[in-house]
Amino acid sequence: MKMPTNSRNLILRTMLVGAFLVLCSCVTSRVEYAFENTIETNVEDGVVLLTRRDNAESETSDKFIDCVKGKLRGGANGIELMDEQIFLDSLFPWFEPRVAPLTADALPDLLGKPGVASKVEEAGVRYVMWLGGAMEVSDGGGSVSCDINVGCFGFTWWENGATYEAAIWDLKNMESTGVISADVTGRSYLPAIIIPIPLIAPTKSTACDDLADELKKQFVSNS
Amino acid sequence: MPCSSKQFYRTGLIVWLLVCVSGCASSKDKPTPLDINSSVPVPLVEKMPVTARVVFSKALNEYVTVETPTRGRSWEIRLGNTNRRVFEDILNSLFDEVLVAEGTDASDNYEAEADFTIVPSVDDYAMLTSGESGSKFYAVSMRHFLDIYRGDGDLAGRLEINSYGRSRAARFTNGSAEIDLATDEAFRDLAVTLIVELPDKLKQAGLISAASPAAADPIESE
Repeated sequence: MKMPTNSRNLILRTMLVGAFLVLCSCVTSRVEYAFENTIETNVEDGVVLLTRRDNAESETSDKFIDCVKGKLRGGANGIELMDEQIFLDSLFPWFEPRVAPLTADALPDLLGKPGVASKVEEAGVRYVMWLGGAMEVSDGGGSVSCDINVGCFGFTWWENGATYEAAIWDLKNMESTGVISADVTGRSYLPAIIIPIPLIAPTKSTACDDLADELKKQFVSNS
Repeated sequence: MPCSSKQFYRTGLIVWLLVCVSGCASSKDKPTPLDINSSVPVPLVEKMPVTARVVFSKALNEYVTVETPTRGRSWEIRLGNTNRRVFEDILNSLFDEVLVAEGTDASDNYEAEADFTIVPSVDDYAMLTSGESGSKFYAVSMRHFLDIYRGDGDLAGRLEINSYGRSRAARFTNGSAEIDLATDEAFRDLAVTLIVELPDKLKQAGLISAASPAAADPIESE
């Protein structure tokens, strides 16, 4: 049976609009870093990635943290990370949100506390990476309405902005080693012609990839 | 006489609606019990050379509260022995010796060798579901009081501890795991505040010397 010309045109137009939007649902990313030198590590220099949990409004999602950890551990020049919870428990309460140092300037005070320096040494951790930031919807518009008989029609879009920052501290030298920040924006679309077709911009995964890649570049293994 | 399919479906729908309504009513009337069993890690602090006495009341040991969110089921939160365990663990880490007594006030089961007596109590437990707050989190807040008495039985001071915890809401759950996790975090926060603020309070009251181990001093940070 031959398809009516009107229906064929509608499908063709839908596909063209879809293809156009796929190309447009792009992500722009800017990664900035401030390091004096790359970090040269030896086998005994352990690294732990800790999540900043002191901002109640925009807590970094567990999925994003797992993504960054996975990227850092993987690949040819993967970094071995100590388990975050084990580190936090062994140094309880000094890295808990209520009392954790906010800047590297507080490290001498922290490591001067009874038992803290020896516990850090026992854990074999030299570098602490503090990861913070979150993604939020910054703009959007349009509308989609759905009806049980005819399906959905309309068009909506939204823009996500993600800002993540990773600060690296050297516990041995009690100083900040550097900071990396990733600013990512992405525009997603939801056109609906009978069925809604979500075209989601990969904002979070782009931020994860860019941040982890740049962090890995800063660590150079001497072993 | 066989009933028509229309009648059959109508009867089925009425029965289903009745079941739903009764289900809703019963879940609102009878809160779902939730036993909390939190613990905190051993803190990295230096013990103070004093003997503390702590009096645990039945109200603290068996604390139960019913939380009824504006939407969804209500919960019977049983903090049970968690309050006592957390206080005992932290106080044992802070002081050389801790004498435990049962009772309701400082004079109960008095032992003269203690430098001071601490009577902890729980004043409030509040919970906010993600649906109520419009956020992605479940939140728990608790308020505890620690009444501190001198060796002679006089009240030396009261420490108020407000602690918070939260957990990210998961999809397709009844919320019990989120409440449990948020309460765990709140107890962890309670322990941190206790470690940091109790020594200061004892110093202010002159119950420990100002030169006592500074292990529990907060870190100076910008």
